[in-house]
Amino acid sequence: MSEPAPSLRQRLYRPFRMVLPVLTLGSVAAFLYVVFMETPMEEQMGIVQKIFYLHVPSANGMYLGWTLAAVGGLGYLATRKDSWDALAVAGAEVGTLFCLIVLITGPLWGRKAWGTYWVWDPRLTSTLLAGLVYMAFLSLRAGNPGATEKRFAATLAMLGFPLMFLIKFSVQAWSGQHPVVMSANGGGIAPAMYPALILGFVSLGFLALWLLDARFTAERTSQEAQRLELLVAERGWMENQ
Amino acid sequence: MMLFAKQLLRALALAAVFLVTTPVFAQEGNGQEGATTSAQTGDDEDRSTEFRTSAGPQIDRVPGGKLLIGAYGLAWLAILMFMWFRIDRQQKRATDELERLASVVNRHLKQDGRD
Repeated sequence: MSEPAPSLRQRLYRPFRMVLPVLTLGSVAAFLYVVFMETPMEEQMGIVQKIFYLHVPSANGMYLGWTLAAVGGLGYLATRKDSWDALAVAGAEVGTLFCLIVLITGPLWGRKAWGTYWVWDPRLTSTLLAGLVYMAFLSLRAGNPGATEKRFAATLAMLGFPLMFLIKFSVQAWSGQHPVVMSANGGGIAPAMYPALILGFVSLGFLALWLLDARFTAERTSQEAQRLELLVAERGWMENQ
Repeated sequence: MMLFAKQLLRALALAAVFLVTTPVFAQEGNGQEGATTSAQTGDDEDRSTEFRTSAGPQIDRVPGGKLLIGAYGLAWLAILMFMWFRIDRQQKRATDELERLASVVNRHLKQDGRD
């Protein structure tokens, strides 16, 4: 029996999927070279300011992952299709991974800039809060979740989505100590610092997409195995193996 | 023997209470005395009234280089751990399970066909 012909979406996605690891590794190597070899040091903070080029693009990866988690949650609640559930899981895990990176790199920069690892600043606190919401999602999905757990998790992924706006606009709403460099009110960065930041966005963007794709594929394979296991159990074939 | 052990424990507990509370009371006493003296005399000589430049070599007390290496190192470590211990492991486990179940299904389908 021959395999069904791939759809247009699959035909467009396959080449991108094949070059994605190459694009990721190449851009990450270029990013690290530019950050450490080409970009000048900042006048006041010195070398520790280079954490910024990893910290800000990681926050972007966090937003991307959690947005896809919310979209997957919404899609699952609307259709009850497992593919949407897999998207929600992949998005939540990758988003939480980048949130962890944000919460590691930020305090290490703060140790030098503020003299302390942590302050209960609105942006730091709201990021931690959102991270805890998505960790709750992952706890709900741990093990072998049933339909009820999947529904609750999908709702939680959607409830976590508005928290991203809270993170984004917390600095404007409540000020605090977190710097606002990349906004209309911020002082901006020197032109020589732009290549490192742009490469950071590009390379970590590719990395986030690669991780999302790999995690989504792993979850779909897992779902397929569960479906087949159920079929085998229903037919009573397990004892005859 | 048991009585001695109980007495020893009581003595140790009492000693611990004295050790902890004595410095606290001593500090409180000093603070009150200092406050009274300062308030009564209005003597501000202990308070610094100017900032001077350091005569010695300038030492960066917070090592920026170590923090930078720590940040990049921990971030990439987290990413690699996620790839290996989460994605790769789950993919391998699910693929093995899928192959095992597929062989079970195929075997039974063939048997059903023969029957």
